[in-house]
Amino acid sequence: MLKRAVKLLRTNISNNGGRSSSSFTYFAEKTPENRGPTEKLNMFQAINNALDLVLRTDPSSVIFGEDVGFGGVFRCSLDLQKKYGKERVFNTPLCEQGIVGFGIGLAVTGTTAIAEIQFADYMFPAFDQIVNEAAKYRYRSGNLFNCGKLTIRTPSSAIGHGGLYHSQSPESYYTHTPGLKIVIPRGALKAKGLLLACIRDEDPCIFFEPKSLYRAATDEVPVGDYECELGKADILRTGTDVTLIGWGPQVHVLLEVADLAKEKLKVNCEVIDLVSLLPWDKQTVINSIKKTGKVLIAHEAPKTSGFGGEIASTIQEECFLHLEAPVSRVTGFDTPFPHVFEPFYLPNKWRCFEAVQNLVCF
Amino acid sequence: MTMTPSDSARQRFNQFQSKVDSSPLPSQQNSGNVPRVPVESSGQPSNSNIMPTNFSGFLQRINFSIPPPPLPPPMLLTPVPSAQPYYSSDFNLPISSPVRGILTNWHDPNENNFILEQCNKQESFSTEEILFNSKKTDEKPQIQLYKFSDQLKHFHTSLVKLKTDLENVNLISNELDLASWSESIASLSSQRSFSPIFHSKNGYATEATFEVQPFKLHRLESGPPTTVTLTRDEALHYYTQLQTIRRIEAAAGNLYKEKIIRGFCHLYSGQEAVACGITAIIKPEDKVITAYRCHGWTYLMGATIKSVLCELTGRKSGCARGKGGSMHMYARNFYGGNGIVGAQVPLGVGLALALKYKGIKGVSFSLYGDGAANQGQVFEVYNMAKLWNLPTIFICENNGYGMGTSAERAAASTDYYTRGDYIPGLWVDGMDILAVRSAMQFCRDYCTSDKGPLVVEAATYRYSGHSMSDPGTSYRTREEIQEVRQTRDPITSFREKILNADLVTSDELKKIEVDAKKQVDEAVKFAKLDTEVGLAELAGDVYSAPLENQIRGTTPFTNLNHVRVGPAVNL
Ligand SMILES: Cc1ncc(C[n+]2csc(CCOP(=O)(O)OP(=O)(O)O)c2C)c(N)n1
Ligand SMILES: [Mg+2]
Repeated sequence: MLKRAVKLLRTNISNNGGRSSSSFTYFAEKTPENRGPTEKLNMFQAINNALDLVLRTDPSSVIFGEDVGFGGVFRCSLDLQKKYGKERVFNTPLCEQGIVGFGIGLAVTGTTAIAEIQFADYMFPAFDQIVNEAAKYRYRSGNLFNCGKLTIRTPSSAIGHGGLYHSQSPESYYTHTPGLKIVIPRGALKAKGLLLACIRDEDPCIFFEPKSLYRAATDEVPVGDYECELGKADILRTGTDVTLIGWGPQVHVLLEVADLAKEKLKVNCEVIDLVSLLPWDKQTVINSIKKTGKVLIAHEAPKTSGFGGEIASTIQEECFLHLEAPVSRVTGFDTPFPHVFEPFYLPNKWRCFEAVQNLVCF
Repeated sequence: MTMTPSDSARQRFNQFQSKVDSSPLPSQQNSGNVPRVPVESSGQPSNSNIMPTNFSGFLQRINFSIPPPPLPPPMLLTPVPSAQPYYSSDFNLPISSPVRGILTNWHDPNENNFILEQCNKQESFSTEEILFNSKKTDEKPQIQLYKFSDQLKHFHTSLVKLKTDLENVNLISNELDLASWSESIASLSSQRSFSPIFHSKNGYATEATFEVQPFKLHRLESGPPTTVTLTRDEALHYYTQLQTIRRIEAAAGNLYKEKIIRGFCHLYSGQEAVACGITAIIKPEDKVITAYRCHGWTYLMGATIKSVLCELTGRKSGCARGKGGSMHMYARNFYGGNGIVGAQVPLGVGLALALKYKGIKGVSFSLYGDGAANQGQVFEVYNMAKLWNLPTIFICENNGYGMGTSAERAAASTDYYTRGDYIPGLWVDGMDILAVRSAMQFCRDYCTSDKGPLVVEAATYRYSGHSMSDPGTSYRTREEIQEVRQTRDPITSFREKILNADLVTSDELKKIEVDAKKQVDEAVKFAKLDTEVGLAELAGDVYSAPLENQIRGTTPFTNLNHVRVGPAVNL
């Protein structure tokens, strides 16, 4: 199997006039060099492209989930059934627990099983299968059996007016589960490389696809095969004063905050996209904070037990003597995701900017 | 008061039904319970050249004759002095030739008239006109009937209606194999249970009986009565409810398109008869829970139209103060819509245990879709409900699709009423409020006499896409939707029924329609102008008693204080 980890996404993010959506402005990736031809794709097209590539090159691969035969709610599997047939791309009944359990069964026979859960909010009926079965199959069998060929793709996070059950960011429920890998892309180019890596990775992966990026995130995406390394964070902007950490669409908010801080406060922020939450790239984070001494972590999920808490705790363990201010977190509130208060709930650039200001003035 | 036809008539009717059911119509073979796009019938009689072209794909010709039975005296269910059927009154109109033609459509949805095909040209006649013509000439109009191939119910009720209203019509038959059918119809009508009762003053009925499509039973010895009685007041009441829900949903659709309703919005249009049929028999001690198609339900369970629309627009006068939105609405005894497919069903069973535990003679109704029927938790609570013999009615609203996936593609068995296996079940025509009402009365009686749960499948249809972002035409044809609208619409068919039985006048119905529109229009105006609740409520009612009064979350406004908005209405 291909293992051409491509480290092409580390530097030089350019804001080439990214399309803006309600809560952030998308910073497109720099067109990669030496990666062959590229095409302009948004994130759902890039995911479609990755899935297409897998179906074409891996004859054991199958894709299934609610309505995926028609392309899925977010069009990620568009036309794949037409191309590869109903045996390989098929609709399941509406039963998340069944979908994941079934996927584990497929994967444990060596089949590349790519399951779609229609929304991350609907993954909870499958929680037992994910946490008790998928995550522990390898461990409990002493590595005699595993379901590493399982990948669960699911749309997550705020989209604008999604309300209580189409907006949640449930990643930290899953990061609490050793045995899983949790990945969240920030745009089209990364999505393709990361999804390919997840599918080929030998552990069960959950691939959260932030809904707001599906259309808003357009990159020049290499046409060919490539993977982005799992467990590796990306430094999107280097700086010396404050470290800003996020993932998914929040990364774009933080890039904007970095610009704002530079302009208004003459402060140089280092912006890190964590990319993988489980495992997560502690070294990159630690190195950065040893340099800046100040850190802001931002995520959409509620604050209490949000993944930011885990990062903060590690930072104080590893960088205690380097810290010049308390670790700061800007997150969603500890409330259910609200119906009409979404703009107040999200950790937008103003809230993050305010936190940066407080860090600088500490 | 309800009358059932004699058993022998029923038997013959069933025989006929199975004959018709087993006839090789492609559209029936692969369609399950929800009619799909009709396919041309292969078994058309040779004289099919007179098939009216516009219906050719839909129709199967049936000819039959009914020897005119002795005119039954009008049935008096409640004695009304000098009650007389309207057709005995005098027509002082000029004589014209007898109506000859082929009655091709039971109703013109717009006009509520019969359409007669005469020499390939269509003409519309009201019942009165046909009768009038037949009266004046002393010659019976000759009418040949067509039926929609998979619309046995319409066929049946129309025949019954014809027998009632058109006593003098000679229905032509060349085909004797349908004799048993004719016979059963004749005997059904001689039960005299189909005559409306007439009020002496205005000549309109105060009560009428109707025959509804037979129920399918699973592990039940006998089912609900198929002959149902409807009073004039009930007719007006149900019509108002049906119309209002349709209007609310139309308004919701428009508000969504105007981007005043944001996010998710699922419409109930097409399925109204299910909710209205249930609420028709519901008692104050009963409880209901459903999924996200809940706007109409919330209104039926007592919320005002305004509070439903304000919830949709997220404003403070919404029934959940705008905090729930389209999928999360509540009212007394209505435990809500629910955005998680299938999740409401176990709750419904819990409601039933509470009733039983408290010794309340009520039942809980849990509604879910054909898609939700495949969720594991539904089967978990089938078991619990039967194990503990709980007074609960599972109602699967089979509208043919779960999002873009048709029932057949998602379910190994689409006989949802049998999927409780050890739980008895029944199938009901969910497009007919009277059938649903009859079924639900039966179910409620069953459950409250401590016999345990039931699983009901209500065959219905949704006109709109799954939600507002789904045009609803990529996985089904426009023709299919159109056909259901024309042949099974729960409102049009009810309208036609009560008009033809002379329970109501078309002026009365017009007025209801106008009033419903007016009320909804006013509510829409209000729902646009009303404001949202204040930001403080972002941190409202997360807990009843939070351990920390501050709701965490970094913000320029600092933390929020937890507030209680309450009070709870469920306790
Ligand atoms: C647990 C869960 N999975 C998936 C969804 C997404 N979803 C919402 S409605 C729906 C289809 C449900 O179909 P059905 O039960 O037939 O109800 P209908 O929409 O036809 O009324 C799906 C897949 C969800 N809301 N919850
Ligand atoms: Mg359905």
